[in-house]
Amino acid sequence: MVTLSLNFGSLALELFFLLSGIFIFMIDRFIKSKSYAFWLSFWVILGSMVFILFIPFGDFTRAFRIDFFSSSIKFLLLIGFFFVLLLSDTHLNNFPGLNFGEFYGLLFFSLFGIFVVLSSQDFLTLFIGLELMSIPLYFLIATQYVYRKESLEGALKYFIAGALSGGLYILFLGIVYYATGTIYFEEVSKRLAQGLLKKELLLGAVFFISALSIKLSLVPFHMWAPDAYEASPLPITAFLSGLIKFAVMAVLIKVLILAYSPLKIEIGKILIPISLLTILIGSLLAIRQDNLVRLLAYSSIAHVGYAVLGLVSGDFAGYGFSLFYMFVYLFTTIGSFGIMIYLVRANRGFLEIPNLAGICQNLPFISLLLLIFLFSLAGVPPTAGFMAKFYIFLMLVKSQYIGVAILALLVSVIGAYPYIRVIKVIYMDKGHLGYYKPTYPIFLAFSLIVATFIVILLGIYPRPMLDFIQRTLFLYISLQFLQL
Amino acid sequence: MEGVSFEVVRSFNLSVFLVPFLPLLASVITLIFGKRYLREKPYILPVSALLLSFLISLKLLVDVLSGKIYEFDLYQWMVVGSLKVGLGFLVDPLSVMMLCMVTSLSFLIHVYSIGYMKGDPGYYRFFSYISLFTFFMLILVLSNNLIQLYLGWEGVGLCSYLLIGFWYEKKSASDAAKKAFIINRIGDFGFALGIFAVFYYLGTLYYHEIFPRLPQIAQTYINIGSYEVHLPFLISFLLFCGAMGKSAQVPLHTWLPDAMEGPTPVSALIHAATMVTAGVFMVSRLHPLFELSPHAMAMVALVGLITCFMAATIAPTQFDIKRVVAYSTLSQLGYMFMACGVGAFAVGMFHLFTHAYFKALLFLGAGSIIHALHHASDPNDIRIMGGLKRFMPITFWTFLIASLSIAGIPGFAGFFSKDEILVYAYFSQYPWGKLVWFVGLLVAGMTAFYTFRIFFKAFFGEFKGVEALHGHYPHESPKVMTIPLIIISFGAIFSGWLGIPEALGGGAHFQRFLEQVLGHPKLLPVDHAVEYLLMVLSIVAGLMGIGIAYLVYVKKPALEVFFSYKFKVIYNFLYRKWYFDELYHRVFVVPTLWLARTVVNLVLDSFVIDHTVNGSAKTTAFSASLFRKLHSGIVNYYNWFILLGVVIYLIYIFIR
Repeated sequence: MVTLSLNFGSLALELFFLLSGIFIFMIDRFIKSKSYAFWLSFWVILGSMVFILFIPFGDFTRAFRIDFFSSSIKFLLLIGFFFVLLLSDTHLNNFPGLNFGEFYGLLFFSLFGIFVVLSSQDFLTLFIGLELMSIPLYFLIATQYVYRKESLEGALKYFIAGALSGGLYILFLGIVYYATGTIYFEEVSKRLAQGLLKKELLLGAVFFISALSIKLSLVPFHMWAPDAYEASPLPITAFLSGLIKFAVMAVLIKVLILAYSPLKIEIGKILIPISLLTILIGSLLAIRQDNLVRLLAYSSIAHVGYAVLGLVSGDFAGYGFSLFYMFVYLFTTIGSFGIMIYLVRANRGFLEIPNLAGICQNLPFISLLLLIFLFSLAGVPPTAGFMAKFYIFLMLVKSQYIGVAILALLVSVIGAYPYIRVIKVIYMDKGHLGYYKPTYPIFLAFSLIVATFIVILLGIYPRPMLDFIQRTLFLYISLQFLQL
Repeated sequence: MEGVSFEVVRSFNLSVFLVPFLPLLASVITLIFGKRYLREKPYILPVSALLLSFLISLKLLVDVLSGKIYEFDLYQWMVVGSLKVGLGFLVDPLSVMMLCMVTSLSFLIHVYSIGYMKGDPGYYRFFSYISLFTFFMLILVLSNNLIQLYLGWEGVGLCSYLLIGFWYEKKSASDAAKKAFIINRIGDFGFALGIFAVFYYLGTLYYHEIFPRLPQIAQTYINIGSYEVHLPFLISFLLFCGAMGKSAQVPLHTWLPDAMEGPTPVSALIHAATMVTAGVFMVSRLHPLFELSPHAMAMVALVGLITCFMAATIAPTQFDIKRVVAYSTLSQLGYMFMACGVGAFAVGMFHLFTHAYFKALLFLGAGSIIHALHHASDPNDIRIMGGLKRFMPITFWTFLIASLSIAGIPGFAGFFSKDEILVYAYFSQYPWGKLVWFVGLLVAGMTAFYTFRIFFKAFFGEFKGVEALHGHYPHESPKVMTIPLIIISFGAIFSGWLGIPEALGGGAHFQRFLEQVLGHPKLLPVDHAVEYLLMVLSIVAGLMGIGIAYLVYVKKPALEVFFSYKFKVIYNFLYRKWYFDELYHRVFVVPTLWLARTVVNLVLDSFVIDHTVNGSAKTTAFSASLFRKLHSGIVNYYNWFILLGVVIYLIYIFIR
């Protein structure tokens, strides 16, 4: 019998976020200043980035565990979140009529949910974490409804998809509990290792993957994504497509290793058609888009498809490459959405691609950055996007999934087209749209420079980051070997 | 490494790292901030970076002389099985010699350019490009594997393209840049195939792993079609294609004379001293591979021989001073390949070394003249020069030194290295040695003739450019240009003294130093009496060339016109550069354009685009409209699809 340990130290960070969120909501009515919430969040997140390095590993009951994997992923997510905050500040200043306090408070609640997801040790806690993560997002997507009525529609669509996701998840939970009598990752894994209940748990896995596929917007669970992305404020779109997907991917990998390790080959086989279809449809739909945000929404669908390709072989190294892919994608997203925030400041019309014609003449710096991020999305060396794709394909070839690799490569050629088209419009077409040249707010400039630096650095020298991400998985992997 | 034991340092060494990366840093900063902040003095950073690099190279030279070799990997970009791609450095006698040559010349030419390029609107751009070039050249020289060699190879090609087309508003310049780039593509295609072949058959790209594995393929033959091809020959041939492109050997030589459209310092640095010799360097670096196949050696010697002779015949008919010097570069590069082709790699490198100095000096001297005449519509034309001795004494003396050096007059650098090549060719065990010697001797005479042709035409007689200069008179170039000239002229004399052959009482230190890496050539027993005779012959050839040039261009100028009329057919043949450009135009350019304009347009437009592209556009439009219907914003569809997905997966699991 395992003793219950109530180690509040390991829960400190989560409580910190919860309290910060509640605090903002409590005092928001009484404070006139527009910027206090941003600065509060700013310092809380900066503090947490330091703080997380000192959080001891340990359990809070059997359901919640801080370990190397969860802390590392949380740390990476905190960095991403920090940049989302910086982008939010720049973006919100364009919409002075909104209530800023709510925005940051809800972001904190969502972050709290993400952290619970990453640390959960059983399927019920995981569920609670997923819901905690999603519910604030329904509100956040609709933040701008004063300015744009259609944003309510996007939020509602995401809510309905989220509700379905929750339903499917509960089905899965029921099946697992019915079959095994337990909801803990390790116990499920033990049953599977003994060769029991494979059929039932595989059935459960289908519902589990469907539920997470909705969060990851894999085809055919993806349809809410473009609507929701277009409806939300730009920083929230970056949050949705970068951070949320990274966290869900991380927890999918965690569950695959900790609970479903003996079935990982079978699950991988289920994922093959999903990922290929996702890449294909994401890329095809992106071709027809004239709106930059919708283009990136579809491209986000396609990119998660690539990342899922790393899971199909059931190889642990492949899991690491998937995480690396999502990390690279996170920063590419931050960079490209940062650029969009800048472009919107210059002229709202710049979100339509044909209007971008010839901006390289007048905005050479931002055009160059956009070029770098688009190259990274298309997977052109020496950017990080190339490296991430390269390792995924390498993994497929190494584990003898050569057919899949070839198909994915072919599809990725289609996938490069939309980005190259934008580059062509920017650099080769004649411009016609008037605009004024906005200044670079310090936070925006900082985020753009850091994102560019990371994208280039990981393209030239990816080794240390890859090794680090692989190392985060070592503990879980070694646990598996101990069990077998 | 053969024979001598070196202490190999395998840890990271900062000074080796700094040699190439200082110029890179200077280049990047100058390119980014040059336009705004360094408009007046963009040369400060590149020049000081090059000076530092040069000093560090000297320090490395001392290290290597005291028996150290640096070999380390800086970092690995990707590792896939046995394929490793990364940056690595190798400093051994061969590369340290190149290092000192490249950095010293690059530094001096940077200084020279301060004066030469002054007032050009692209002042900062020029310095940025030229130090970027130096970076790539150093990367090429320092690399310890073939991929990095290729990186440097393409990098210098890119910089060469940028700098030939530096005055891109001039159509001839941008045409020349394109020509250089395209012709190099042909060679580099072979070069890349050669690298792939090395990796495919030897499983590695690192020099220190390639050489021990060479015996594995020494006797391998592979079938191509119905022919059995000796594998080492095939690989050597492919690699040599790259060398032919980069070092402008027949039949890929036509770009180099046109490349003279670039600024003169560029011609001196890139198209005389460093980049074009990369082919020779590569062949020497991979000499064990070439030596496996006698046919490959014969090919190297033959290509060098043809180029050497052909260029020497064209040069006397040209009137553009830089083109004459460019043809002499072609010819001298042919000399180096001839040396490689008879197995005397160390001597070939020795000639590369001395040639770098005297040829750079010739170019910079020509540049000094052009600078003085820059008011003329075509300042390169030797017909408007004459009598410049009076106006430009320093240029006169340094140009004389360079000319004597290239003509092979004893005491000057060119004499020692050229003579060594001839001696080694004569005594070579390879059967084509005697032929190489004979052509070499002939070309030595011709070289002296055409070099002194421009020398006499430029500096003697009456100044003929008064009209072209609108009454101006030329004047000596500023100090910032003449001082590098003077320093390089020391190199053009004394660089040869490092390798005075034994027969003349020297120690041939230079060759011995390099032979630690490049191996000893296979020689027949050397007879010193014959060696002296060969020397006397080559001196006589040089003096005769000078004598004829004096006779024709100073004493009896009428002879020049007489010859060109008397032998009109031959003269035209040579003046049109053996009709190579016309040939290529007919055989390659015209058909390609025809293919592009008619066939591709016709076929693609009517069939491919109308049917496939528009067809696929229709398909996409159709599917897009389908998708649009599904993405109509009606949430029911969305949920239907989610449920459909789940059901399909369930079915999949149960029927599996």
